[in-house]
Amino acid sequence: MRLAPYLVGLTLAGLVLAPLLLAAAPAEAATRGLPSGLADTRRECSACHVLYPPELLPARSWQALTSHLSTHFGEDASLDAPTTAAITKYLVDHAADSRYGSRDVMWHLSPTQTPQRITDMPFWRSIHRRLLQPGVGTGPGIRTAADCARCHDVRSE
Amino acid sequence: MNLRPILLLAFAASLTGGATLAATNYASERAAIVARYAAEAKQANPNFHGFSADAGKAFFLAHPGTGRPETPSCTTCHTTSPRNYGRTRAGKQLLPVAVSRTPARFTNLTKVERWFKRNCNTVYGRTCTAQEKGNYITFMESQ
Repeated sequence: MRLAPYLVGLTLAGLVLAPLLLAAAPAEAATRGLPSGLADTRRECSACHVLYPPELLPARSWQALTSHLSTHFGEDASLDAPTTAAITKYLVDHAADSRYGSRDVMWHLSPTQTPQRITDMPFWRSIHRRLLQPGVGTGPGIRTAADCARCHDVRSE
Repeated sequence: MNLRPILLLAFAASLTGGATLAATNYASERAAIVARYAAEAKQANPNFHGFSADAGKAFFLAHPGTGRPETPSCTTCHTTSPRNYGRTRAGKQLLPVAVSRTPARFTNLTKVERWFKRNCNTVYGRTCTAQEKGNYITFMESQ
């Protein structure tokens, strides 16, 4: 067996592979190859919080939320216009009142209401009563009701 | 003669070499961003004398009181040591800002500009100067 070709091949493979492996930051790796709206949504929204499922708010809520990202719950989450548009489209297309949604999520939500927090949705409040008691949500146990991953197995990216 | 150990060793060595190359790549990408801020800073101030890690540290630890109440300081989310993992107010873990801990930090200009824009706005209530951005990166490179 001649060693040289294998050595050369493996060495080249390592030199090429290592930077590729290192460059693939987790967030970017998780969105590679996805349709742009979904990829943008996962990459940008999950930079700060768990990826809230689009089907937990109606389309009008997502439109309202993404119309003022520079004042996003006390944060400046501003994005360039094309990325904002792609994310808005994905969220609206998969909203609670889209064909991907469920009547249960829209339960008791008045058509005149446009909640900007999932925690303001009547369905959420009815099944998370324990989290609505005074004092809960600020203690060491549950930091914030926005942190679904504290109790649920949800995607973080 | 069993060739397997030699081949494995060669592969491991080249992976290490590749990793070093990648790190060098990060360093040169970061240097390009710092150089850009240096050029901007020089344009704004002819007496510009380079960036300071100490000034960057003070900037990072400061509580300027001019931003939003939810985020009085960089340390609100990033903790007082850039080598620590941080946490957003919504509970998501943040990778350390220190370059020694997260080598890919400050290597993508679009991303760097986006986050300076957002976080300078929320913590300082204004945009940051090129001098401040350069100081900040220089501090994080020293950490």
